Amino acid sequence: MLDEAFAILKQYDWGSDMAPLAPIEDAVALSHDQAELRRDLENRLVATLQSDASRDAKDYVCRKLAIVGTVASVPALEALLRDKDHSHMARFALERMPTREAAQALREAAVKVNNELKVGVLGSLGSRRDAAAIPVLKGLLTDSDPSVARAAALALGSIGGVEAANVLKEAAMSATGNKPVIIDALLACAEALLAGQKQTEALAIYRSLAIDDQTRLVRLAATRGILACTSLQS
Amino acid sequence: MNMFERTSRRRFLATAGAAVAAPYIITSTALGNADRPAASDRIVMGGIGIGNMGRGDQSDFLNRKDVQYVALCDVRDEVRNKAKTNVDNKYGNKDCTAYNDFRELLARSDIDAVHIATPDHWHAVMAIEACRQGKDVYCQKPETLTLREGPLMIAAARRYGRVFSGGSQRVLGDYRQYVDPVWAGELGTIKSINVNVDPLPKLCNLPAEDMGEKIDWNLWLGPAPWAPYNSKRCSGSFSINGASWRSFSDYSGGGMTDWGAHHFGGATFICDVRESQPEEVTYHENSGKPYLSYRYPNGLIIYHNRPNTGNLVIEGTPGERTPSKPVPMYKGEGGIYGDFIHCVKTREKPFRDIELAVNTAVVSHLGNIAYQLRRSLKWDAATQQFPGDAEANRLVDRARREPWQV
Amino acid sequence: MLRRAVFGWLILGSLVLLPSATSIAADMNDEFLQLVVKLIGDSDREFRAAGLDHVRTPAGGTEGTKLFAGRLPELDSEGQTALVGALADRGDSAARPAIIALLSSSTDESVRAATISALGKLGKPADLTLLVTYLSSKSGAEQAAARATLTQMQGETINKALAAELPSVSDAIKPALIEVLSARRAGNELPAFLAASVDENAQVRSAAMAALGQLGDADQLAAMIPGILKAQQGGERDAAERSVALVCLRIDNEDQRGAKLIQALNAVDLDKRDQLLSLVGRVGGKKLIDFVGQIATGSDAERRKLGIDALSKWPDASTADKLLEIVNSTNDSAERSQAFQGYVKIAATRDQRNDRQRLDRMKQAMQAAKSNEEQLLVINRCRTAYDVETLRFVLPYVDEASFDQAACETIVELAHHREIRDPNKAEFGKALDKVIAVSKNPEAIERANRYKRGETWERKAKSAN
Repeated sequence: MLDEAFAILKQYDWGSDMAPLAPIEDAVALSHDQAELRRDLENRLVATLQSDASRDAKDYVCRKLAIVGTVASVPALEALLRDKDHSHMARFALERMPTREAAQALREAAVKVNNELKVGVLGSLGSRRDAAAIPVLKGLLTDSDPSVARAAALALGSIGGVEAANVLKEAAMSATGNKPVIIDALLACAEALLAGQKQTEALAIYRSLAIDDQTRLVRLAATRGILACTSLQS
Repeated sequence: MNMFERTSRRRFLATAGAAVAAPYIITSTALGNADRPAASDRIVMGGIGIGNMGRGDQSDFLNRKDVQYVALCDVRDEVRNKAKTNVDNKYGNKDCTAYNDFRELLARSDIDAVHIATPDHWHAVMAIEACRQGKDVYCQKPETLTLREGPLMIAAARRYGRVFSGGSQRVLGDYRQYVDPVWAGELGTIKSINVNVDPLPKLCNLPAEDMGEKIDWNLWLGPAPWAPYNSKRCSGSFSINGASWRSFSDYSGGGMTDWGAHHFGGATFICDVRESQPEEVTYHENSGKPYLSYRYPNGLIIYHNRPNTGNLVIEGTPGERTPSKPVPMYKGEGGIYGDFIHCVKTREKPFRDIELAVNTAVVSHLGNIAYQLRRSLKWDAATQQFPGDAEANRLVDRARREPWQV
Repeated sequence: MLRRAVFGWLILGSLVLLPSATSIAADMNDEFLQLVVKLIGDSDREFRAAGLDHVRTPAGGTEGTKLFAGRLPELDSEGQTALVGALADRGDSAARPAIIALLSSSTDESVRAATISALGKLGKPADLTLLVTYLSSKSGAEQAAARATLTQMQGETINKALAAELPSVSDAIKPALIEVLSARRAGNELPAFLAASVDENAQVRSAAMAALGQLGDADQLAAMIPGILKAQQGGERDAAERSVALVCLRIDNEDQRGAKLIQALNAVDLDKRDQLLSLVGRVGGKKLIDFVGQIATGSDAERRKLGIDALSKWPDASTADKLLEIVNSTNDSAERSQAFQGYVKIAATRDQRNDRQRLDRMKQAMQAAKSNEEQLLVINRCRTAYDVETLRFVLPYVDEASFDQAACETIVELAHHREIRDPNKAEFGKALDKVIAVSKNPEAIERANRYKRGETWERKAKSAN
């Protein structure tokens, strides 16, 4: 039944009846604790990805690899990151894959793909909270493309931690860059630091933003942050 | 003007006592009258997504004397134009600006608050950006599409001190006959409640169609995967049986989040667990007709589609009486909309504060994931993860199409 | 008033002599408390809210509560209202003295209403008498706040204490106090409600009967009957009957329900018993149908009228056959008209029957109709049969001048229900086109257009929530 489903998948396109693909759906669920079945399933999915199947079919494959994909799928997915029609769905699988190789593929793509796709890749790095991507993101904070710079800042905010916060602090003090987004990301870092019991570091960030030079909204956010930090001491 | 900087007379109390600078023309509507507050006391609003539900939201806000509706946004020309006509007719002028791109609306420094009624896949991106821009938010249910979005929306609201209301008017409106006796302690400790809601979301594979309407298709899709235009894919009708986006997993959570937002919202309100999330979802295979049971930290069980059990059937503890508690109500006048506007003015948390709305959405999303994986799940509300379950954690979020991120 | 003013001045005066909250906080070397105290008085609402968010939490403890409450006299009315609300949410009764003082001293309606509301969470039983007086305040906001607060106050003794106030409060306050006890679901205070159900004041009676309807059970049935007999004909009487019917309907077993009611009725003098037939009608059940059916077809014309009225108020359609029998058999035109109207009303009831059965009854009614008015009534009530067959039944009447408007309204009402409209989109579309062309009601036309587009339409009465 799986053979037939994959044969049909190769001809799959928008408007196709999805019922014949049910065996693939079943296999995804049933293979949860059957390593051999899952490996076989993954191999078939990757083979479809590397074939001349339609965009829609490959999108479908990526949706399944988002659940069952392992390091074995990474090369095939990585190859699609540069492709305008497939980059997003390749990320659909890679972003959620808890493997070093998936993270590495995204980091490498961050410097290779064009700006339009780069924004998406940076978003995925942020969602993964990939601290190893911080050096790459740092370099992109002042990119000439404002969307890239923005995406880099937001990704750093998602990643959080002391290192990301320091990068953002430095960027916030420089003359260039998208200040509101950088500060928003810095505030996100401060929240993560506070949640991670790093109250002193968080408080330092908030105090640095609670100054007259900042906009009212930033001062408000900083004040709220100071309250959150100091209430723990009170 | 810097997008974060906004001088707003409403921010400051009347005792500020600043002198008027140079004389300027003050319109009679700006001064207000016995029926209509002065402009400085009106909340300036905009709307994003003015389709079926959005038009209803717009109508409610527009009819409030303490709201000045100045802008709207929709990616469909016809919807946008009709919505603008509504506002123009109401005010007798053409001052309302209609946008295709929500970012332009959010960048306006004069807007205090926005209501969002787009398809669900847009809610998080728009709401978080609205908070970044200093706007208060009223967002239709279901407020989130994925589990990861909820904490991010809450964080953005708290970061900037925004008033953020979710949108189910039914949670307080439809379930009082259950809430009152339960909160009065008459049913004793509540052991379980059942919610019947269907169907599950499904993948959309509709064929391409000629675009019979003027719509910015790329912007309609937004963070969702690219797909060709099909009128049923983007229809905003209330159908959840394949004739609208509500049915499809790229844009919504099917019946689980559609009516689920109301019924799970009602159930968690009735049982007073609005402030918590389930810690476990058990998948009952039931000979091919699966159903779920969610267990809460206090022992409560919420069933989904329990066999032979009606919707909102409550299992209490006969003979036991528990202490009564006051039932939370809307603040202000005018239902959930009035509650939001009241809280925008007073800066209190609304009845359907985003954190409570997210807790309801979590129930729906956990359910959809359990059905998709066809097995039971454990959930850790503190970490917002499925502990030790790498496979389920993959479904906590999904990659967004460039250039959108949260 | 004078006492309050003097009290207020004493409070203000003492505060002038004390250090300000701000300086106390500064002395305490607690940055958090200092910041909150400062923000409480900020002129920017959002900065103030940042401080108040923490007033709402236990942070700072009782010391913090006193510090925050100490700022009350320094603030303007908006600030006071906001701070009082936050202190109430904080839930620390250490704020109570400052709030009571503010209630005594303030002349601002919003502030006073806020302090009254705050006592719902911070008040003590000793505050009840004071709070009860605000149930008849000239200020609507204070009244509403008092009602909410008294409904909200926690404590085992509150219900008893409130009920104890009933005999001594004025008629202006009594109904509101009874409503508060009902909202509190004070099931132990039923004797107080029963006593009030026969009060000389109509509003007191109404409130008491409503409370009994919510909280009473079979044991109170007989004792509630005098409340019906005391009620004035019209709205009060209807409401009283509905309350008793509510209590009856909480008896699960239909036979026991009928038996209990008959038992309660038998305790009433014979000359008053017939007045209660419409009550019987609201409760329903086979036992009672037979009982009333005999009266509705008996020899006494006045009793027949009461019997038909009772059959027409049945909670479900089980009296339909009886009513139709009367329609077809009586020679008295007034009686026939009464029975016909009752039949249509009963046939349209949304009970356990399916919609097709409901429609079949409507068709029978149409066959029995003898005048345009009767046909109009049927067309109008068809709206409760949510079935596409109903649409098909009503649609031809759009072409008849005598019935076109009623038919349009009914079609629009049917179209409101997506569960029949969506699967029959094309058919409804054509019908709605006819409505748009024929109807003279702008709302019906607007609704027709919306349904054609697949949109919804909020009924204003329901959309309030």
